[in-house]
Amino acid sequence: MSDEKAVWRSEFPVAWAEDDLVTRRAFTRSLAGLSCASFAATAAVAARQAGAPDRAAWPSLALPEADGLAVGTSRVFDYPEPGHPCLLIRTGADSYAAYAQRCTHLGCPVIYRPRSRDLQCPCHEGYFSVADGRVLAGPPPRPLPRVELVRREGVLTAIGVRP
Amino acid sequence: MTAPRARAIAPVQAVLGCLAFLIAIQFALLGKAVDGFLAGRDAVLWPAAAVSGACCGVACWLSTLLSPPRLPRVC
Repeated sequence: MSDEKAVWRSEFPVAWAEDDLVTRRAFTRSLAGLSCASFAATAAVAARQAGAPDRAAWPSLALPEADGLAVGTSRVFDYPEPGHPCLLIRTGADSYAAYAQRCTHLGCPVIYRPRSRDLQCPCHEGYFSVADGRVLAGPPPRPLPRVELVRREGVLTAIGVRP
Repeated sequence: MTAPRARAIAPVQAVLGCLAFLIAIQFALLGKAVDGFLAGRDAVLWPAAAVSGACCGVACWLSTLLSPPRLPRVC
């Protein structure tokens, strides 16, 4: 078939000199690359979570500073390891509650509000019960993970996290 | 645009539309995966990655449909 009579010339009459102006195919390849990048990002997020250590056994962490807390106040401690802030709240003379400080919505740190006796996430106005960590209002989808506390030899001790 | 050229471009436009739809789905999945990662909802992460991978495979297959035809060299 001679070049002058090629079917593709009549159906797609673009000269070689103008070929760089026809960008639909190149744009399509770019979109395919974007699709691959999006998949790689999603897989990376999943892989990072999968690489987190499994918590079959939780460490014990003594909290001797708990007895120095005034009733209705709170303080932050790291549990089960540094970089995982938790909130210890003294709710009564001998009653304490502790929760992971990371909001279950988007991870903002929650704060204790002694007047209303609840935990507030100031980022998106999420509220949690200080009694059991359940969601009172706002967008958080799950209760706050609760840190289990016991008294060992008279010292308040964190022994695990219950999601 | 002439009618033959419009006919020739129509499949390209269709593939572009499909690719845009797939990428929109993938971005939504990426957003859900990041939300799940931040909120500790591990169950959504691998399914989101799997669906995103499937979308990626379809997108790559669609892009190969538009690879330029092998034309005879004339010069």
